[in-house]
Amino acid sequence: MKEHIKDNLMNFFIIVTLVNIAIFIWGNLLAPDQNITYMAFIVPIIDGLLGIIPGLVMYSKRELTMKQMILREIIQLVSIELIILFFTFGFSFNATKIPMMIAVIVSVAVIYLLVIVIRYFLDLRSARKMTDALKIFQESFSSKADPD
Amino acid sequence: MNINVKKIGKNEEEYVEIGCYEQDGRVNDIVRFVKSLDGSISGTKDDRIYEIPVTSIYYIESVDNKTFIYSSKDCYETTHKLYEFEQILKERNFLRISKSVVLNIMKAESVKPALNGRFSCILRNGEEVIISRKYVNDFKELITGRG
Repeated sequence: MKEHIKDNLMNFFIIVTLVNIAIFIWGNLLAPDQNITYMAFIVPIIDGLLGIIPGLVMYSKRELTMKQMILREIIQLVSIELIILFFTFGFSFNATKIPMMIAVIVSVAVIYLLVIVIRYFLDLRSARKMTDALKIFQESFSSKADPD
Repeated sequence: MNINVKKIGKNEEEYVEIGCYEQDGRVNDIVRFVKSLDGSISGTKDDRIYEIPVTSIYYIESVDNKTFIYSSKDCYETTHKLYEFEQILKERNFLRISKSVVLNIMKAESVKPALNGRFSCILRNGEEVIISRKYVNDFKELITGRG
């Protein structure tokens, strides 16, 4: 559970950073002349919190297989899309909002993938450190190890 | 059951002697335990019993309440439970890396990331076993000596 919370906290900070970047990019593309208020600063934090809720809720003590893991990732992505869409647009729907909705859907999917990629590279660095430590550990016991 | 421990001279070979009315499952458990401490573990394969040297074990896995011992190429079934191996082999660089696997750290070749905070450990025979998130810190602590 502790590891799970730590993981989600790290995801939160990655999401906040990426949402900031997404707002900057989409804002420049879709509404470059729009004036924003101080409230805009809270949006990435709320998005970050909303983005980790499905991950926290769907915590499983069971060790999942790769298939179950991928399925869970897909369900999580769909849940996040729905939560963020609801948070951004509420129940009010009209055709003029479609480009903005598409922008949000694409942003959420891209950010979701980027979080996975960034976490993978952080884990890759960890794995390299572990491999180096493993070799040193084994060398220190090499006299006891069997050559097989 | 009386337990006698007798100190012997350095020039004599150490031994364990069990006095029993009959060699039942309890006695066999004691024998297996002593053998495992001495460096080998009994396992069955194709209805034959083998003594597997601890140093040739790659990992031990529990599947559907059965426990299997994996060497470089072979797989043996054992009556011991996984948690027993975890305790017995702790001092011999074996470590629990997931709910169902106890790994011989000396047989690990490298580590790579798997999905969702897990890591995959590549063994010297090319096999891969998953280090689950819960046990990653134990693994790190053991190999870095920060335990």
